[in-house]
Amino acid sequence: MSESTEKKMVRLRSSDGEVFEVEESVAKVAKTLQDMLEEDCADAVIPITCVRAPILTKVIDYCKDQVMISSSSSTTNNPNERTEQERKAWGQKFMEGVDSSTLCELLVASNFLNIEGLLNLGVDKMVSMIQGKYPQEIRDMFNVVNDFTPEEEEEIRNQNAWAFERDPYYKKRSSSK
Amino acid sequence: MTVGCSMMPDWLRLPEELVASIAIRLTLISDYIRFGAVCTLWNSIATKNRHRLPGHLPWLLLQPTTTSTNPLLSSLCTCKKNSTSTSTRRRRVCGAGTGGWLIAVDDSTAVVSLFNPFTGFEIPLPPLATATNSSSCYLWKAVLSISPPAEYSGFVVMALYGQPRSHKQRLLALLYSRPNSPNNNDFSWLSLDQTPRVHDHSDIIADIICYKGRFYAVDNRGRLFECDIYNHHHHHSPPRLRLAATHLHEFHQAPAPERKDNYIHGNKRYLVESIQGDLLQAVVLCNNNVNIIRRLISTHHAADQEAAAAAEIGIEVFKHVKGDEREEMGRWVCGADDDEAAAGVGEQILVLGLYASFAFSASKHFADRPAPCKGTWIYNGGFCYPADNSGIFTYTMVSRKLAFLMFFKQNVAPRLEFLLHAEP
Repeated sequence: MSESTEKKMVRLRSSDGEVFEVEESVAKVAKTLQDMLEEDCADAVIPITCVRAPILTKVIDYCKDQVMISSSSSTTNNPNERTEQERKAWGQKFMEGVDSSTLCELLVASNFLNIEGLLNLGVDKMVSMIQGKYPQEIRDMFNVVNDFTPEEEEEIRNQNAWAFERDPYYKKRSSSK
Repeated sequence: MTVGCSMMPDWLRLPEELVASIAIRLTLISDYIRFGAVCTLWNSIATKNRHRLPGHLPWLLLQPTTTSTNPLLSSLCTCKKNSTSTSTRRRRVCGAGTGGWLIAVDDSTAVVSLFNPFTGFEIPLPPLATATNSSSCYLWKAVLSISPPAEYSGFVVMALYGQPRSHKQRLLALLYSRPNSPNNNDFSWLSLDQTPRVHDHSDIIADIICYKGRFYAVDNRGRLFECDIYNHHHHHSPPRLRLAATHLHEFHQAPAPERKDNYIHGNKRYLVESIQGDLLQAVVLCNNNVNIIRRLISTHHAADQEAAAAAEIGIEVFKHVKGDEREEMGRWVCGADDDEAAAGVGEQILVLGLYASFAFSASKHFADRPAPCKGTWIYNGGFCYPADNSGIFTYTMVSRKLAFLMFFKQNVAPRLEFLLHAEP
């Protein structure tokens, strides 16, 4: 039996039209694709319209790694098997250098494709980015617009004033003297 | 077939459930509150999902010292909603539960209340004096069995109290809430039968804890008592204290090799639940060398209390091992006796406080900072002092291997910042 007949390949098309060919086992890490493939309703090329090529590359990297771990973990003395600590370190390295817009797209992609492990990595990353920051820092980081009226913002801050004391990024607007 | 969803990398288009799952993973309440102040969408998600917050770390408060009052503490104590009463200002926090609940007492009236500065809920509790038959008493510490829901039903509070300005005698009282009856006439403090304790005047209860839904007390000799609250609840017999572990020295006769003879266990002991879920007893080690203590007193020109604090040189931690059928009582093991206990310390940080002690994972909370070294202990409550007027408190502690400083930025608590110095 040759290699090519043994491994069924699946083609995925990113939102910007790039086509990726991956082994079926890699695609099946994504629960959404697994369901489709099992129901055999996948066409020759599966278009994934919400994920751009660079993001899909990253997602596929993650899936490949998961396949590598799980395929070899059935055998004893597995050199690829990771301890909890190594797994953590790997996850951290994987998310290293991911900027906020990539992170957002990764979250959307892993949520949509239903890849729990990757989603958790993304959520952890976002949590670590938010921790210890003031609202304006968070807005700047994630490019979120402050859509409170001055009165609303004032009220939210007053409810738990202690959490905002010494906020260097907040200036009371002149309208709310 | 097309697999599709929206295209823009727009944070506001993340599914609401996903944003909620991010928000509830913020371990510190201050982070959660600030997250909710980012925009209207995230505010509504944060507000909607408050009830899903996991057992948060208790509030980390700094006790006001004689030289400075603590703005954070006063802002917490006065943030009670719908009230302009100045009497709230006099409340002293003396206990904390998970989910942001605090127990505070007004020392002038001994009125105790349960309040949550985060949600604004407040539950008045009956005055502690009803348990004592005397008009004045001092509440050392109170612990809460579970976080009461908004309609406050089914919680138990244990109080450690005594005579004002006297360390001599400390008593325990319990308070059971009656489910679904917010009328505070329905609950009263129940003084605890303390018969299993030897009534020796030198015995005092050093700390109390609610651990896995049960109440425990430790005395100044390290003996652990369990309070059988459910016995009372179900059979209406008075709650009793049961000895759950004898004092430490029976099991810890030989000093650890690196331990010098001039270290003794002080009276300060703290019960704390480790991140692995074990019950730990942390004992403050004191310098037993009379000359050193004399020198400390003379160099510090300070009150006894400060000199005593300066003599504190470290913390020793013991793990409680439950008794089995053979051995009815549990016992304490320490790192020297038990490898598992030593390994269990790992990378967690213990915060030992006057009104609440807790453990948290160093790597989880300080992922982006230099990780505190293995087996470090943070000890809060003995010798804290404001370094200057900048609101930064410095905590110092020397353990066997490490000396470290810990900075609390007063107004952004409960965030912690670390500076670690390994001892040469």
